Amino acid sequence: MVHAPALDQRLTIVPSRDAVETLAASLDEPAWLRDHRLSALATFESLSWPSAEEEEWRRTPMDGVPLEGWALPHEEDTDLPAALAPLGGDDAGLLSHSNGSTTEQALDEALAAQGVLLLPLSQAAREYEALVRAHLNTVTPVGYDRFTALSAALWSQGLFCYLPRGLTVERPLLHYLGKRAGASALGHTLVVAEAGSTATLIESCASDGTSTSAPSLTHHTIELALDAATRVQLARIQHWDPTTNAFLTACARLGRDANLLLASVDFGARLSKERLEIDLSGSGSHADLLGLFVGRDAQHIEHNTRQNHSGVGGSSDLLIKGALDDQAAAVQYGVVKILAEGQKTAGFQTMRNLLLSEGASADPIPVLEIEADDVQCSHAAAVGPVDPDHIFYLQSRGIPPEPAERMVVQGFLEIVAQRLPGQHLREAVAHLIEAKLDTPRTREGTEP
Amino acid sequence: MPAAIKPDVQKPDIKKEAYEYGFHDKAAAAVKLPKGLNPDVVNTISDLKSEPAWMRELRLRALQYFEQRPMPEWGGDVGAIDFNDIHYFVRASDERDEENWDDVPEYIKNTYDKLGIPEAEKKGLLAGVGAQYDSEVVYHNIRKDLEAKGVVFLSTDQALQDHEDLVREHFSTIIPPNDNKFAALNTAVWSGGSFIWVPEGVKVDIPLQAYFRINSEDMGQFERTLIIAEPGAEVHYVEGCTAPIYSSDSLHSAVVEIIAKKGANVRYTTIQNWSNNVYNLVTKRAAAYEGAVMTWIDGNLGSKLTMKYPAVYLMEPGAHGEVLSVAFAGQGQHQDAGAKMVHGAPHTSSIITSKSLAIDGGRTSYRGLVKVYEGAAGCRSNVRCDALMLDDQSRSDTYPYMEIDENRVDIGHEATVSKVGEEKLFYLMSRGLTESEATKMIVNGFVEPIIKELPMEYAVELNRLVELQMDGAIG
Amino acid sequence: MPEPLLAIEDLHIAVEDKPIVRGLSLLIHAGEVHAIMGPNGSGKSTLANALMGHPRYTITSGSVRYKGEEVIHWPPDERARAGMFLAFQYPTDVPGVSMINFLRRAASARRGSEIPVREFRQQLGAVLEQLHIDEQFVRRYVNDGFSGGEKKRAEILQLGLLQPELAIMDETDSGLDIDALRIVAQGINATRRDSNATLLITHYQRMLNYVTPDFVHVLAAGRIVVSGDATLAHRLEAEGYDPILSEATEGAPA
Repeated sequence: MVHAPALDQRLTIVPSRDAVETLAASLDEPAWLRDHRLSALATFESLSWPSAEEEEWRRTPMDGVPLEGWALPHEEDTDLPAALAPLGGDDAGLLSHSNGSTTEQALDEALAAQGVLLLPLSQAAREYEALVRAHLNTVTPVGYDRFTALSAALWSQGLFCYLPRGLTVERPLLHYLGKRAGASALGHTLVVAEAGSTATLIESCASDGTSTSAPSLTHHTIELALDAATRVQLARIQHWDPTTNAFLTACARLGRDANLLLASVDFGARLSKERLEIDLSGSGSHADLLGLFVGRDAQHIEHNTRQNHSGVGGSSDLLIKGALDDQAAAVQYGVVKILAEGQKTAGFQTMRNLLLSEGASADPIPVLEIEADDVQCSHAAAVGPVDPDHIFYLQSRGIPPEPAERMVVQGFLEIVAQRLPGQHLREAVAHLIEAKLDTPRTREGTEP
Repeated sequence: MPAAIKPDVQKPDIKKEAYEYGFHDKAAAAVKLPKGLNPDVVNTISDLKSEPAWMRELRLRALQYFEQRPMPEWGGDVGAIDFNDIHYFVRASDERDEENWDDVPEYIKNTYDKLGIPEAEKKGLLAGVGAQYDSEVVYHNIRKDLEAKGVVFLSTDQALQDHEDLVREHFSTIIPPNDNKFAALNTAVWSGGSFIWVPEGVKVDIPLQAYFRINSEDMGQFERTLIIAEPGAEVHYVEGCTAPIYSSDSLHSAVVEIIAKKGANVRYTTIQNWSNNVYNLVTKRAAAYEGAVMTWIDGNLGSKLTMKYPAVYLMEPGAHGEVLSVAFAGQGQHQDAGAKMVHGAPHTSSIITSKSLAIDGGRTSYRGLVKVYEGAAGCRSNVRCDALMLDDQSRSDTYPYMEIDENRVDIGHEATVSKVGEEKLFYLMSRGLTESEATKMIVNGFVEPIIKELPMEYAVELNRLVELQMDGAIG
Repeated sequence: MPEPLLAIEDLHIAVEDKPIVRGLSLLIHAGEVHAIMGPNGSGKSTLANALMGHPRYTITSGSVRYKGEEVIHWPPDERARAGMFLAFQYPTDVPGVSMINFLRRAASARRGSEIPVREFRQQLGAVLEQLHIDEQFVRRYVNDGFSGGEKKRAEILQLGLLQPELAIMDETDSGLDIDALRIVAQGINATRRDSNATLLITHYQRMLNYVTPDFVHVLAAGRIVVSGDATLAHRLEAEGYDPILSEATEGAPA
């Protein structure tokens, strides 16, 4: 690949015309994409950061989140972080990003011959201008908020995935995202699925580092443009180091009878805030939204979800389950919205939080806004410790209390994990759950 | 003996006009302050009531809070309320003896006769009755045996004269004057409402009732109710509300404070049937101490917009709070109702059950909060909200907030939104019921879990009101 | 007489400060089957749960000696590893935990060492076959979505696999149809040995048609009010609890 002069890896980025132009040049981007970035920059400048006045930001601890002066590296010859768990298995293609550069890209030749694309977004913008231009930031608007505008102006870890009409990709496509601790990262994933196509995309992000690294910011935008009768699964495993403040904005638009599974699995980051917004405007479309997390130390793990039904006969099902230990906190603010035209729809939400320590806390808020009558909607939310009856039952069969509790916690999370795509991913997640639960308590007894 | 109570409610004629309390009296009021709100208005109210200085100062302080606080931007649309276009005080009659029904002016008596109020008292269905007409209570009475046991049941104005120390000790302690904009407004211009004090260990076995009526146009009613149940006391208070239909809107903004001391049991039932031009913005809150049980039963059928979230602060171990809520929103109505349970002590429990119905373009919202403070171990809370959508013009929202800072708890929330089940309809219609009869029957079944908690005559009344609302909508 | 397997002496049990069992004594020797019968609310399930060490049931006084050792301060898992077993009246579900994983952990705990996979599969296969349970059953989550009958079968499956020395069966017969009852009874009979004992807790006599007890005790208001042999159970079936209870209390000191 040909590259313009690389950005100074030590450079602290200030969002500016200069920074955008330098980045676009270094990624060898066509003029239209540079201009798109510049217009996103203008949007960024016109917006302010979300404030605690807004319902969906009221519970987010923004203190300590660096909102300027990010180190956004663009390093060649960089390694993937060791923390990035290999998902193994037999993949159909992969793309790796680390510290702002593409480090590896591969795609099954037969699929490539059939027209499947799995490319760095900059390259796609160069080689498939019409396709990328027609979709970029049409599902997740640049001006969704200041984070998406920042990403749209300055992303360097971009992926474009295209699925031609009627094609089924059996094996998963992988996207690895890595960074150094202390470095920030902005990324963009754009999936365009033509009618009747089927695929599974797994994104895994991680960074090495400890709680002594400088605080950093990541934002990743995901756009899923899913045409009629597509079946797309996207699972994202987040394992950033404990100084990362990780933001995600994932939006999907579902055509008629489209079927989406969108899963987020969170282990890392100091603060993880994920916005998942599904537009079920296609009649008969269906979305499964899954969230799974283990929170330790003072982690804050937040999901803001929206299941927007405007199509007739659509359905959506949200299931978020997490275990919280130490002083970890979780927030789920999820809305099922059914517009008057969204008749014969079904929308479900379940949020369950296990609190494993006295300092842990959870605020699940499942919201329903229903304007149609022929609907079936329900939600359930729960917060509590491990059920002592479960422990007693296992204990009465000879299993000591601690392993009994562990079994119950793992079983609790297994209900979500078993719905993740692919055996390899499920096993990788099971290991990560175990490892996270096994991490020794760092703050025990230090509470005032 | 209580089993012998027979409701004397007849099936009403089904009128085109579903709201049957829309009439008004044309008699001139004895005192009617000019529209608008300023310190002079507040001072005049205080003067008219010959209040002690501390109350006047509290009112004036609250007026400042009211002016400082922003209008709520959540919930319903309160933007159309013009605070300058409201009469803040209307005294219907100069007749001051509350205890004698015969002294109530004839036209007011007629109103209450039409509403069926004196009947219930005559039949001994009530332990005491209060009736508020516009700003002031025109009638208040309590059974002699309860009076002999020391139970106080007076208008809050009268209580301030007769039991100043008791009022001063508790007034505004549960809902501070700056709690929210409408609580501040009420504290500034409050008038009327009930004051109840039940001495230690005294159990008031049948309900005390108050009846609130807005008669004047462009009127604000700001009653203030304070209930104090001493340790081991029991009391059930029931309030009903109606108003005439005017083309302009009225404002009802009450504050209700309840203190349920150790082992007390307080039940507060509201059957709100304001006409569809009333903004009903009410703050209700109770503090429940060790082992006390506080129950709010809240039926919201009327009003243009209701924003009301009865709260229980569970202050000591063993306290239990419960809210049972039915909301019915028809054309032009928004019922934004809910509940708030604050678990501030270990081993406290709460239950919220909400049922709502939306029809004919109406909107119901459940808005609730369950808060558990760290250290409040062993708390249990269960929230169940069900909404029934009766047509495709209406809207239903559910906003259940949960803030759980303690792990040794059992907190659950469940909600459903659906329409009347087709199988149920089919089953009933296959037995010969018309669709409208079948729908009504299903709706009655839907609200039954809350209706059954009401005393018989109110249960019948509420069922009747639900049916009447539906008649207006589905014919 | 050899040392009893289980010796309960003047046992008092409270639930949330409310006394339920009030002075119960009972001796069970290896090789015996005892049945405790009693009307609803007599304290049967309280006794069963307390014997297994359920934290909600507080032993306020008295003693429970198992193989000569006082166990009332033992945690439930220690009792289980020592050979005590409770078949629950209402077994709880543990979603997400597979039966097979759970059973292997339990079997290893009972044995005191990790049980090799192959050996475990053999043991499990034998028990499944004996109880006519399909192998798919153990792929499911523990009691999750099980019917009433399936839950009871899962308890019997554990009984067969864990080979306890003292099995406490808490109303294992309730809610079962006749075929399921027969299978459950077969399971109990199949595990009957001279070296172990069974305590059947039941409301009805019908289980005792399949599992013949050596002793029958009638529990009322937290005490054993009358004991006898299997014929007592038949009398209860024929006459109901009332006449026998009033007989027993008449004879008792005031």
